[in-house]
Amino acid sequence: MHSQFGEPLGAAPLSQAGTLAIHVLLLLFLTSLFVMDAAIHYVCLCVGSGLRKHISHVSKFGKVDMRRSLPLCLHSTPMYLLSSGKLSQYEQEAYESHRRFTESQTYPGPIRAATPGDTRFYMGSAETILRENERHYWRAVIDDPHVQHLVPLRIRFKTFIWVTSGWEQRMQVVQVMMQRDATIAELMQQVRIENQSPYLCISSFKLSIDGKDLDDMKTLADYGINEYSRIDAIEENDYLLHTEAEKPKDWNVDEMMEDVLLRSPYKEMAMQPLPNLAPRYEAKPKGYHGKNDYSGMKQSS
Amino acid sequence: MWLQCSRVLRERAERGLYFPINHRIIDQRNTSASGAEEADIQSRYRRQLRSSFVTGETRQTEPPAWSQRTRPTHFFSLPLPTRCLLRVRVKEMHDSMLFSNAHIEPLLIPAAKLHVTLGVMSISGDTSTAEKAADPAAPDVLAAIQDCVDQACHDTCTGPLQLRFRGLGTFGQGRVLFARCITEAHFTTLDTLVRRIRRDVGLGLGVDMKGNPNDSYVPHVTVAKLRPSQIGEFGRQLPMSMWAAHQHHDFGDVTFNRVDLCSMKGQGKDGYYHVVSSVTV
Repeated sequence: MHSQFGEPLGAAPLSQAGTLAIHVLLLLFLTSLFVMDAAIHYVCLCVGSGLRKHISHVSKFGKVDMRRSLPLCLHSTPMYLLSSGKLSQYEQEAYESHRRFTESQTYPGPIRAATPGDTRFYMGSAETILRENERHYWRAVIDDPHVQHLVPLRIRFKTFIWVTSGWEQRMQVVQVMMQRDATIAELMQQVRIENQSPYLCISSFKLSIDGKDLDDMKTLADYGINEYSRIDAIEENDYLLHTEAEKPKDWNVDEMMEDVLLRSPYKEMAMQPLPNLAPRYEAKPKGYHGKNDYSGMKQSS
Repeated sequence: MWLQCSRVLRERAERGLYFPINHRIIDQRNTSASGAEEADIQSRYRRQLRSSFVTGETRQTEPPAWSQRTRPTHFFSLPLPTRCLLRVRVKEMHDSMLFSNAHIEPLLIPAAKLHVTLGVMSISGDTSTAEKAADPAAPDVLAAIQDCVDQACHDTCTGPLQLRFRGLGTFGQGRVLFARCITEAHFTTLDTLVRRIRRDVGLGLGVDMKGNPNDSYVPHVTVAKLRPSQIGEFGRQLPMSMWAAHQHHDFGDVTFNRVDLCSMKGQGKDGYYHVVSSVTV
């Protein structure tokens, strides 16, 4: 074997000519390696242009496994089928099939005894909630497309989570079941009811999609809100959260006054440690994300 | 005293399982990754997991889309006899509902109109969308239906039907509240009769019986109803608090000896529906 720098191992007794020959051979070998590498690179580019879309899907989904080989990536497992790119296609197809189904003039209607609902008794310890058209048992038949009367809507809030080294702003989702013809005001009311966190919905909030506010009087259908639409809740002081005054106080850096300690989040947080360290919050060390905070883009630092 | 009280309170808080089993819920409508890392998703899942026994929701035969667009015009019914326990008890229940909130009066079905619905149909003569000027055709259809019902009653029923009513249920996302006809006494005979009529009328005569003619229908006594015109005033569904106290109320036994074909519009005598034809069982 050759070492890394091309020195033949255990080649000490060789003559001058022998070394020369070996050097020549080595050169040839290296050039051939370069050529092969270029060829492989070229082939990869050709194949890769076809694959790039797929791979980008995979990486967007965030489930990319670096050790997974390329042929495995080519398999379209159900996980990839459910990825973001395919979702709109399913949605569209389901919608079209439902419309064609309702246009039918001669359909006699389903038989109740043959269209079973879901079961609540199944294997496994946890209760799982499936989609409306899914069952906990194997049903090979494709059921009639029917209108979802109650749509699960997800409203995204921002909350401040106390991670012992400071506050962290995170997303919290409140999921509500709304009737399809409900108005936005009813949706907001339902969100206020369903919410169980004492730190959300403290002030009045507005719903928005892609930053555009939704009108209270209009219905869900006016905005075309379905199960997949991303609805944000914008609270009253959300536009002030970048200021020091509105941000929650962090006792690692701020001074906690007596009256502040009697107020809402700080009172139950118990700054002075009790013997059992009573409300124990999650902890994230300072350097968890490196020098910078978490970001979607890669920060060079 | 104070110490004991506080200890009792503390014990109450710690009572039960560490992670109660009715809180162990996995929502699979969300992506598997989103609940763990991106955000936590909270909801009151027990609302969605309430079973139909709790909510009173009942699956009625579901009409296909084309039939949903036309309003039903006629229905089969078992008229209540003049003196019966059911009517008295429903009246009592109405009174207690009105006592708790008086403004729901327009939702309640008047006692004179109470009947057991055995099936709903829309006869195409009245709709004039499918067939034009079919009004002369309607009497023929009605006569044929009458014959079918007559034949079916003759075949299946051996005597007057004794039915038992207990409990309340809802149809159509809580818009219709009804007294259930439970599956005791002569219910099986009634069910056979209903299936027979549905098959004869729906398949034989080609009448639009709201729903698959091979399917059965849930016979019920409608007690309160939210009409589409009232939705603006009363909301989208009857509040469960209105009828929760009576949800498993016993309405007694009734013996029926007539099957009517009624028309939905128009008043008949003494506040009942307009009876097109009736068959004695």
